[in-house]
Amino acid sequence: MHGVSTEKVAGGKLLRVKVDFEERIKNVQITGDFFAHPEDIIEKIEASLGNLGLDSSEEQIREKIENVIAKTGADVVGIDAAAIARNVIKAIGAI
Amino acid sequence: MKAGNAFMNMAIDEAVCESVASGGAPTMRFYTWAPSAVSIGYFQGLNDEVDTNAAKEFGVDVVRRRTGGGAVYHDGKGEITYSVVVPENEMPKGIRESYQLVCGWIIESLKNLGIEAEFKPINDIIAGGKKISGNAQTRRNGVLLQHGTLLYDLDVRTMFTLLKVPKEKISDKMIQSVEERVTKILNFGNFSIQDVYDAMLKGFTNGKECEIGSLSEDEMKKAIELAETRYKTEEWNYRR
Repeated sequence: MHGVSTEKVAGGKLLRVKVDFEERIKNVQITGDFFAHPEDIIEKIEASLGNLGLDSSEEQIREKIENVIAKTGADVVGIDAAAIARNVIKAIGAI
Repeated sequence: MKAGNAFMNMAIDEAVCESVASGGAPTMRFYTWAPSAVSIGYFQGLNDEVDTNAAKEFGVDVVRRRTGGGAVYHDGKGEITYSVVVPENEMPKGIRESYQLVCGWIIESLKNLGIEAEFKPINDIIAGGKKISGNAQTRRNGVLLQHGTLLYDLDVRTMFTLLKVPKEKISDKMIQSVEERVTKILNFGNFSIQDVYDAMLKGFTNGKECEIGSLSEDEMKKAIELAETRYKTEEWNYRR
């Protein structure tokens, strides 16, 4: 199954999260007009969300993303961990 | 100021970044787009943003940038694009602060034309309450690249044909609403594109030691290679 959720983050940029899932999350793609560098931080966040259970809470997903960002020291501007987590949950629920 | 195609424009910016990363002098570049083009932000989905059939029909190139930000229609006669490539340690550490610094040079350029403008975080410049310049920045290998556009003229209808907005939304109402949010230099006076370039050159270089030059042979060679191996490829442009 495939779900998409789009949000114009308040005070920030447009965020679109696409999620492929069955019993678990299979693939997450994060797109939008935000800024991030090093750029591969977004691929690292996407990879960290693969194989998560569909029962993961928004809070758990947010923490996971925050840890990936903190570990790499990347700058993400215009979106944040909370917005990504919120839209992962919405994308799954959108089906 | 030179006109280039979308792939070479992006490839040259990257080749200059490599050159500055290996100790070359900080570089500012001013260019236009021939043919007109759409560039999309590094993290955007090409099919989400661009009507590729319309782009083909209009003979407009489509390229993914190395920088984030949104999709931009670069009208060949409607804007001047600049790029600034400088070692990261010569710029403010914070993203917002470094945007503000370079955007300050655009504000000064506009002032040279008698146009009052201000920085609107994260990455815009507004004049008369409307957006007149969009900017995008990235940092890699100790080098900061910021490029952006200054709108000279604006063909809203073509822009919305190329950028993916449902056709039914390209109504007069929507065009009016974009014109309420976006402005152009020609709204402020009967300036030529040369006037704008002169004002930018002065605004960007004021107080700095600069010399006008052209790309080195190595930079040009690298740019041609990058255009072929990255910016023209489907693998790059459709990666998201």
